[in-house]
Amino acid sequence: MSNNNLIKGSLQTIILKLLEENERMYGYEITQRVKELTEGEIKITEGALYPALHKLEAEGLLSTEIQQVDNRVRKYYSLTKDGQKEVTSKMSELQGFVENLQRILTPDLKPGFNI
Amino acid sequence: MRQLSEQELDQVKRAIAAKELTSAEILLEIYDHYVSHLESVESLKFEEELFELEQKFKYSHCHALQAKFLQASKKEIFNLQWSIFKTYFTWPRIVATAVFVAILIFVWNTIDSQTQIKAIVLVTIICILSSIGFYINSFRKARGFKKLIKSNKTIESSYASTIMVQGMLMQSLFHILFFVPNLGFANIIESEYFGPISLCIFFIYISLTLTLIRAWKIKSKTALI
Repeated sequence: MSNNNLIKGSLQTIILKLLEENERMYGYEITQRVKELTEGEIKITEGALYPALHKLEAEGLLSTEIQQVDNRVRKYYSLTKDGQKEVTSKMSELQGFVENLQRILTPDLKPGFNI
Repeated sequence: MRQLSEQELDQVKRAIAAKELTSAEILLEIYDHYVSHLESVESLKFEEELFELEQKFKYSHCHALQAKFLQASKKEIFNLQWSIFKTYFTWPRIVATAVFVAILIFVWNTIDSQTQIKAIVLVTIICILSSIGFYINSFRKARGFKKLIKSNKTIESSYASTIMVQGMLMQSLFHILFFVPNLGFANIIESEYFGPISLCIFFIYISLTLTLIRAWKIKSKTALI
C-alpha cells in the first residue's frame, strides 16, 4: 500500500508516534525509519514531511534542537508535553477510524475489532 | 555510511545555492537531508542519487516550503507570545504584574503629557536599539551558513524576520497613533483622554515588547536566531 492520499491524512500521527518511541529525530531519519518499518511499502515524501513537521512545531507539539554534526547543522525534533498528550489522542482517533473503516469494508466483522 | 568528498560536497552546495533560498532554517534542513542521504549511498551512485534529490526538491517546491515555514514561524511566535503573556497573570507572577501596573498608573498620573511622550519615545528607542542588536546577532549566525553554502542570496532566520516585522509593525502603529497629529480628528495629545489612552497603549506596548523579547530568547536556544 503506497497510496499518498491515505498516508497524508495520517502523517501527523505517524510523526508523533515515531517521536514518542524515539526521543528525538531529524527529517531524513523519519523518512528512513518509516521506510524501514514498512519494508519500503510506505515512503513519506519530503514535500509532505517538512511542512507537517513545521506545522506541528508551530502548534507547540514539537520542540527543536540544533546540533552540529560533522560540518553541518542538524535540526532534531522531539515531543513537547502537549505533543505527548496529543499522541494518545491521535492514536485513538486513528484506531477508531480504522475500526469504522473495517466495519464498512467487512460488515460481518464484530464491533470492537482492532487492527 | 561514508563521508562525502570535497568535490561531492561542493556539488551539493552548488545544487542547493541554485535554489536561491533565503531562509536559514530551510536551507540547513535541506542541506542536511541531501548530505545524510548521499552519505548512505555508494560514490558510484552519487550523481544518480543527487539527480533524484533534485527532482524531489525542485526550485518551486523549495520556495513553497520556505513560504509555508514563514507562515508557520509567524504562528509559532504568536502562540509563544500569547502563552508568555498568560503567564503574567498566573500565580505568583500576577503579583509582579499588579505591582508594575500600580506603579505605572501612579507615575503616569503624576507626570504631564509632555513627559509621558518623552517616556514613550525613550522606551521605543530602547526597543528599536535592542531589536537591532538582536537582529545583528542573528544575522551573524546566518552569515556562517551563507559561507558554508556559498549562496549569493541574503540568508536570514525566518524567525528573526518574523520577529523584526512584528516589532516594526508595532512601532509603526504606535507612532502613527501618537505622533501623527490630526488624523481627521482633534490632536490626540491635547485631548483630556490622552493620559488614560496613552497609559493603556503603553501597557499593551510594553506587554507585546516583553513577550516578543522573551519569545526571541526562547527560540534563540533552539533556532538560528
